[in-house]
Amino acid sequence: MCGIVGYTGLKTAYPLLLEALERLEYRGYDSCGIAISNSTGVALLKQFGFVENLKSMPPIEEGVSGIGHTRWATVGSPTEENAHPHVDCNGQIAIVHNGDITNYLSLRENLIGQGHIVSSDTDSEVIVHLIENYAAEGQMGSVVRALKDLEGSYALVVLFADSDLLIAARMGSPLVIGLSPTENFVASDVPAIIEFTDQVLYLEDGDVATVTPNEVKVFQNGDSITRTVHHVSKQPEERGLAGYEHYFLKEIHQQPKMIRDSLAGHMSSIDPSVTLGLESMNGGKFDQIFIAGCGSAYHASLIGEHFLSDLGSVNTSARIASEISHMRPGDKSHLGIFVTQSGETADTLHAARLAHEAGYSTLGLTNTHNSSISRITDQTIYTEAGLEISVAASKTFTSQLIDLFLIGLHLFPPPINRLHDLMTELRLLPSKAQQVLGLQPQLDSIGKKLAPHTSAYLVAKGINYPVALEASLKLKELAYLHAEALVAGELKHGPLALLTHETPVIVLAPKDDTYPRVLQAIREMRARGAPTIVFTDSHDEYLASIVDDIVYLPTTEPHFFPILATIALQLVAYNCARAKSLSIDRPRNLAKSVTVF
Amino acid sequence: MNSGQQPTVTQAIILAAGRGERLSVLTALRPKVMLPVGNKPIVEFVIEALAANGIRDIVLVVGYQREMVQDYLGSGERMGVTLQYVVQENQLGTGHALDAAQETAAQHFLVLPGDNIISAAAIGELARSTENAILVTDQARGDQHGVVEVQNDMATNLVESPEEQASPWINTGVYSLTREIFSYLSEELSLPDAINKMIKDGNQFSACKTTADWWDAVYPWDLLRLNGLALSSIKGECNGQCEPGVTLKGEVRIERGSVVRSNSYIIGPVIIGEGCEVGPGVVIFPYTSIGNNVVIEAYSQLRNCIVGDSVQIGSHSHLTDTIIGESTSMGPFLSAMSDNANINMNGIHVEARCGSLISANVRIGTRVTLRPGTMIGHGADISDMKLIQDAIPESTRVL
Repeated sequence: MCGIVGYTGLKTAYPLLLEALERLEYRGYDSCGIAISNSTGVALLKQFGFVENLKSMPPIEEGVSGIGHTRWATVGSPTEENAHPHVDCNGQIAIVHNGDITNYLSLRENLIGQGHIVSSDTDSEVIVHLIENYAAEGQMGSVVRALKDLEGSYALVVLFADSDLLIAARMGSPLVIGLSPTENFVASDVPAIIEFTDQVLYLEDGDVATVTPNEVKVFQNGDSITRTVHHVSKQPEERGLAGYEHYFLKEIHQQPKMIRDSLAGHMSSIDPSVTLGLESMNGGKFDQIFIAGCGSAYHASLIGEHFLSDLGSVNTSARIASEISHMRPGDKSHLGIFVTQSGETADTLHAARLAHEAGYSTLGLTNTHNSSISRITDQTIYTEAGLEISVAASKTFTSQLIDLFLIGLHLFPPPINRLHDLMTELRLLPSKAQQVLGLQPQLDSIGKKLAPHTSAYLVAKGINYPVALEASLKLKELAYLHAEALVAGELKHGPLALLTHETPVIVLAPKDDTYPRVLQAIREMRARGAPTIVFTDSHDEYLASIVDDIVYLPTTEPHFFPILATIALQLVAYNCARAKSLSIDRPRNLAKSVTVF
Repeated sequence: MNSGQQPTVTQAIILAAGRGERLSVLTALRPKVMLPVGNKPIVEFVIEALAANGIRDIVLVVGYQREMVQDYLGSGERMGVTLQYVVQENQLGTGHALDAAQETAAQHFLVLPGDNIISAAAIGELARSTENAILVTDQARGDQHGVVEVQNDMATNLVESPEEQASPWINTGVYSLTREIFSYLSEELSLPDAINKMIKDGNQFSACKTTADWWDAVYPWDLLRLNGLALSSIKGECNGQCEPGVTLKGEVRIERGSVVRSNSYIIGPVIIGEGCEVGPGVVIFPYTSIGNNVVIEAYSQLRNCIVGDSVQIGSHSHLTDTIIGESTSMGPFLSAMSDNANINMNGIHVEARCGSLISANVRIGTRVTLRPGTMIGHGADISDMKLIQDAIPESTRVL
């Protein structure tokens, strides 16, 4: 349950809410809905699927206060009935909710016992019936009373019939209020409302706020409190397909420029050094580092782990953010790096909070300005990827890699000559990435070859194993192909049993110190008749003679091979999905950013 | 003609699909419209000139390396225009290219080549002209252009390869047309041939004579002149960092994240892109454009050069009238001097004054000397201490 928004002011609420919802769609697109307070009471419009489905319906033309929701189903299947907003039995109160009510089953039973008509399967609907129960205590009183019954997490906006009042409440899920002289906004994040206002305040856990067109009051435990108003700046962004068939392909093609932009201003070659300004955290000296993320960001973290470990003598590990449930007390010489594209990933935010509370230095790596991660961590580095519309990550993943490389070179500079060589290679990466894009015809034929298969494997070693993980994720989410990443050395310990001439294997074989072992793995697979597709920068004739397909990537420093291989495999996944005529930019069942645990 | 009125035409179709064969040393990775002058691709000047005339609905016909055009220009928001792309898969001719835009074309539109620099004034003159019109100029530009035979300000015949200059009016390739043209394009691949047919059928085409700026790059070294033209209007500004002891004279523009180190001496107009490192002690003379993420090491000197993105120039190098493609790296003590040269362009010898023309992704070792007029193909690798006087083909290793 994902993106929420509210508006109260002088303008017709419906189109504003619709526009904000479109910007929140990255949080889910299973269903969506809008409720408006007007002369009919609470007018309600819900739809299964994308926000554009809502757009195609006749709008609610009357009403200047309303709430909206775009959903990623967690409790209750993605249907119109389960779409938010939810209303009480009399249609006088409506709510939108992002979060997870853990005690909803018992609450639901009680409410049904009291005669409430609970029409959806969601955990959220109980909230509005609870508010209805306490209606005698007034608008604010009933909401506060209902919140006391809830266990779990919520960001909540409540709308009442015949009223321009919104009540917003937060516990564990993000919520911001956008301020303007004659109108006010509530939203899950700043980008949803930045078109309308640049003054925002962030609610904290336990806050309840009353929002009317000309006033916002925040309460904590019944006492009125003041939250700082922040000025937020709008990042230039470009929408539109720019001649491409899909955003995913457009975004793949933006990677050479993204790499160039990420490097600009951070490298000095005369006194070789990388500047990032991390000295403010413990003087930039750390003796233990962990990097945490979810999904693609976790794969980036794994590559970061390899790179930092190879450079420094400091213990560096990558961790899946959702697997961090507690943190041993540490100090500022311990650094936690938290990688999240949206800056809103619930699991990653939670891990960052734990690390902060445990006394660690914390660094956020995100693509979204003004996002929640930047308010939790000591310092934030913004990746230069720009807006990414495709649900499957492409340029944001590689931008995380580039920044992790820069972080590594900044914190653990190798000897000057080696650093100079690495920086020279980084400068050449944009044009090498461009050369990889030029391989499209060959990558298209490989994508088409994979399309009829039901299973595929990706085999790699060392720093390229996370590349295989990321590529298998792309094949799953875009091409709905069961693809599994395997460590080359592990083949003989089991997975070889699965290989037949029906299971194509993609192998990453860079000409580095892993090469002989990867070659060994290829021979093992060949012996079982599995079709092999190799990505390499080695022009070894023997290799070419033992594989079915060979893709030559530009030669680069081994640590940077993952960037080039990733781009090539993004194109393979794209071409495979395209051969199967799938919905590439918005795969089924997914959301770009997962804001629940 | 009804000059003085506001232009009524609101759409332009830009032909941007070709590679630019005579510029092949520079177009290995990018179409001709994307060759940079003054750190902007040529096509951006065309779009800006259209936008200045209020023509914001722009269709780009793309083909060769089309992604590069799309990646750079995007949806046009940055330039305040709306861009649509149509694809011409095989580049068979200007008429064939225009035909690709048939579905998106308005009733009345302008057609422009995307690889010429044209002033907003010239576009304005054409836009205020009649519906069917051809922009012509009598300013001598050599013998590489088609001409238009003109009687009483009306075009009577378009000649694509003129023998002995049958007319003084050069065809700029910029037209004002209506949808009627499409019924002729099914038979003709060339736009001038189709227009000749229309004229024969009794349609009136006016010859719109302009004296405003219009520049084409026929040969690679022509880009240096276009670059000079583009730089002549820049305003100096330092958005990067200049260390103490740097001298900047004239209009020198330094973009975000760039550093100019001590004792460098730069005489504008010069533009230095983002994330560059220049110096210490580097001297840059007027009409030099330096792309993004370029490194120019100590004590080098550049004069009237175009340097692509991510180029690395070793210390003590001297380059004059030279063009360098992206991601080329050169060791110390490179010498690329300029003089009158006799250059072999696919069998035809052309006299020109220029330095060297170096493609993208070239690697050049230490103490290499390039004779004037040398062309080095994409991905070539030249080892130390070489004297290069001939053209070096793509991906060649010079040992």
